[in-house]
Amino acid sequence: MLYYAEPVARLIEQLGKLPGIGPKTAQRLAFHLLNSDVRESKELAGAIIEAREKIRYCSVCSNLTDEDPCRMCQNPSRNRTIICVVEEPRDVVAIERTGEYKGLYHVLQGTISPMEGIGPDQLKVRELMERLKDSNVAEIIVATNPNIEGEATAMYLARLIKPLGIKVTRIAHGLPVGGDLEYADQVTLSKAFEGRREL
Amino acid sequence: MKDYQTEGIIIRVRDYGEADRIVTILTSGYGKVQAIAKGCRKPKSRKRGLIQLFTHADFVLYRGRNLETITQCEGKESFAGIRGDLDRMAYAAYLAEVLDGFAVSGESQEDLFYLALVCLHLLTVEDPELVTRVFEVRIMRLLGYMPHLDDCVYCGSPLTGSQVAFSSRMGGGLCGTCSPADPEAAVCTLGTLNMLKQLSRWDLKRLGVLRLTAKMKREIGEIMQQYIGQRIEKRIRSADFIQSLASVQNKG
Repeated sequence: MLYYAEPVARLIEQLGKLPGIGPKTAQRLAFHLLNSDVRESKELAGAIIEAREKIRYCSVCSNLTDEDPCRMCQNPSRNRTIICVVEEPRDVVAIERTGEYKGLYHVLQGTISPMEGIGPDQLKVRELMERLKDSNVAEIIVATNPNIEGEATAMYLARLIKPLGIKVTRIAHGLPVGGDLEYADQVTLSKAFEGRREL
Repeated sequence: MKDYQTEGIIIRVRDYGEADRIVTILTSGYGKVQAIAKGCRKPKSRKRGLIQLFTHADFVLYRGRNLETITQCEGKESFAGIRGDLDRMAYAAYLAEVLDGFAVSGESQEDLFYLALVCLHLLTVEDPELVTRVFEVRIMRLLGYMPHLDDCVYCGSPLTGSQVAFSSRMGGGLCGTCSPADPEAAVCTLGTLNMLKQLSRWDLKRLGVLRLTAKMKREIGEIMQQYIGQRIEKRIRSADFIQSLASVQNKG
């Protein structure tokens, strides 16, 4: 027996495919949409379609963008001698939020994972090397995640880029601000000691 | 008791859902175990640093229907020497992939676990290529796949002459006359086959004193990769990555 009218069932099914949304939440969202103003639902549907149609990858930095090259790559006030290499578009947002960094970005769209068969050819490494060919870039900051895959990617990039005479740096690892020494794991703590600096 | 404690090495990790990870652990007492580490990607999780590839730790596992759940985990060694070096890491990934292919669940595989542990420790200090070659020979011997190297596997006559061959299909060395019997056999020197034999018995503590020529290492590598590939019946992806690393090195 059908518990819902078919369009409602279909809406619940589609919502349930989204990450972090189980059947109950999907049901709640569906009923919320049905109870709210039609205009709101149309706006939501329109926003989804617009984003899907307009967003693509920037031909320079491989970040998500609606115009090519992206705003970040076009912006004349940004420092063009530094490129920060990150894994995902989300990471760009995280770094931008700090307001500390004024250079350019390059999004790899993943990390090297030899066991999963993901090598440099599956990532935007070739695009990065193309970018470096005739540019005045002086430094590459590798800001991949501090796990094994991120570390491998960082070391691979360093090996590839250093022979070009460009400085390659890695973001620091260590304790989070407001953290507690007692609860830090050994690996993090030893990294923090390794990266200590003079006051 | 649904809870049990065991020592293990993480040989495979994959992200699951929002903040979880599913890991494959090679344990000393229970063979290969699949377990879920809940919430370990959250910034506040204390397991975060430990639930990573190659970590050697004591685990407390809770038995589930399909998957065990990691309830506690106390790190013993995280192999910083492997993490800090791209080549060593690539070889370690190869080791992990081979282990994942051969280990079975549900029975104690203590020998395999200790071989893995010793080789990972060696990988942090010794020539990673040599360690990998020794590992390949040792794991084959341990699992009863040790190739026949005393005489020709086809005709039984002693292996002599400089040019011999190794047949993965027949599982042993071929003398010069018999090498056409397997068209896919890898041609190699007699010295290489003798070194293979030696590696299977060599004291691992004295690995550093062994000196192999680059050619010998390459020949052993080709032989063992083909042989292991035949036994494991799947492609070892990390081997491609090791290859691509070698080409970057040559360019740089």
